[in-house]
Amino acid sequence: MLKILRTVAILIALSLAGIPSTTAFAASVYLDPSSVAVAENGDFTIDLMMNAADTLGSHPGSFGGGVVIDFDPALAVYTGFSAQLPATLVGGPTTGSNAGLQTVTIEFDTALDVGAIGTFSFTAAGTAGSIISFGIADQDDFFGTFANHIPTNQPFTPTFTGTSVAITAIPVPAAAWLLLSGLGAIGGLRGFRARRR
Amino acid sequence: MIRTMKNLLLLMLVIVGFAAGGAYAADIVQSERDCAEILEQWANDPDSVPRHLVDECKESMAAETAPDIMPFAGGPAADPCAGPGASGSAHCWGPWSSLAPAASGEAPPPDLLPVDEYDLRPELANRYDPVVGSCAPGTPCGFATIVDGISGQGPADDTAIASFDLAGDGSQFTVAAGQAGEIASVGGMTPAYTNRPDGYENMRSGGANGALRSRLIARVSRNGNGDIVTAADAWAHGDAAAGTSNSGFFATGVSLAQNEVNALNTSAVSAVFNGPMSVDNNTAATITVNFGSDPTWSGGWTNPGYAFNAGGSLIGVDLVSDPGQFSGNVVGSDNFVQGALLGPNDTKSIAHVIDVEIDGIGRIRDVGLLRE
Repeated sequence: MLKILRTVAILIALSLAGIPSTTAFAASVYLDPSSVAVAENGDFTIDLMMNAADTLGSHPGSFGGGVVIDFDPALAVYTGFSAQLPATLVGGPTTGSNAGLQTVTIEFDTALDVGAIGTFSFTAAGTAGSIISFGIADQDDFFGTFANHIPTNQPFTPTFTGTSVAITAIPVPAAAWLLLSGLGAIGGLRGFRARRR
Repeated sequence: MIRTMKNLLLLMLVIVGFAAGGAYAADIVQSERDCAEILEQWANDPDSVPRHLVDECKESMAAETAPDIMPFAGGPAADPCAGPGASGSAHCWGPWSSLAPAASGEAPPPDLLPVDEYDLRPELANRYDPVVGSCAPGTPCGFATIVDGISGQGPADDTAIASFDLAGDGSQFTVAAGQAGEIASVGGMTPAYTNRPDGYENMRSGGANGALRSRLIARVSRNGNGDIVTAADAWAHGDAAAGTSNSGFFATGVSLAQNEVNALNTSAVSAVFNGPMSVDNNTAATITVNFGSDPTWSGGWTNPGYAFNAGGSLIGVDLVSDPGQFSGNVVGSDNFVQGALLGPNDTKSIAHVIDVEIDGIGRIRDVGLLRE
């Protein structure tokens, strides 16, 4: 009874105060690497992902926006970007530099609300043990660029999360390990026979 | 504790009831007593009559002696564009004068109604005075919501409504042109267009001038010359260095020419317009315009949380609501729907704004572009 009265009193007080109810809409844009580790001089990809299922407008809807990613050019070489349908590339990719980091800017449209927008391709350039950090931000750092176009344009501001990829030593093939073990066995056998003589 | 809460509830209900009852009682007092007698008694003995009754009677009698609308007679004293609020009057050019000055220089009010019709029906002008500002036929007309920040969204109480002008090439826009608090975008914004599945194009237009930045994300339709004829959705403008910004939603276009409106009225046809609103695109709007000698319109707005209806008259290209035609769930005062009939004639549309208080929901402020 006490809880009910308290709740009713709070609701009446809020109503009299004219406090509106609000709804938060969360969306995220993030980078998803094909692997957390890559061999020296190895190729790898990073998917540009979005989850905007909670934004205003229709769902799946049709989403557009622009992002800029950055990374240390001494550790990775950018080799291309391809949009993943239904997303289409409407601007870029444009490469540049900012504070010693290489940047790649792309603008996309007609993306679904959840899933991959496109894929960045790279080649590892650093030495084993290095970690390549990839940052990501909205192309427009003031207003933002993201919007759901259906049924009307509804801008939204997603959160952005980068990623990192570790560079490892070039792995030795299994055949090489077999060859080495075979050679070792032969060498050991010869040594054994020599000692018997 | 329970008793305390009960008492608190009882007290709040009593306060609310007393306030309503008090207002009702005041009306009874004012209606049952002759103000002339009250004032006469007050003149003989100032202490014999409550001061607030005297003030109410003075105001009441003063209102009765002054006409609601000054008929437009052409003289300076009767000029409806001379006083405060002229920019929002149906009798005046208002903010549109800067966009389409009258050919005669000192322009009379736009020919929304024949001048002599004001003399015959002054109540029309009183009832249908556009709130945002009248739209002259054949000129750019639009409406916008304004909030602080970049989101474009905010509580209705923190949302303002104003006019909206967009350059035909999408390179510049102005909110509340010529008004206090005018917001002018940077010039030379660069538009980029992409296709949409609904027949519109999508336009992203942005620009910067030092720290000032402006942006549009809009549905647009363009004519054969590539000029924008209708547009709607999101605008933003701000100072990146200061971290200040305003944003909102808009609906705009070029209104029908007067001769086109006249032809429609002569043919006495009806046209149905519909589409989603821009601030809350869960709201679907439908407006039916019945052209004729006394053109009228009626509309409905449906949202998962509410629905309401409104109606009014079409004066020139202005759709202005009649307070008596709102559905019963539109409560309180200062409710209005205002729109502009946009061209071209073969693909007409309506830009409009709603500002209503829905019973149990609260104030709703929104703009929308509706297509035939």
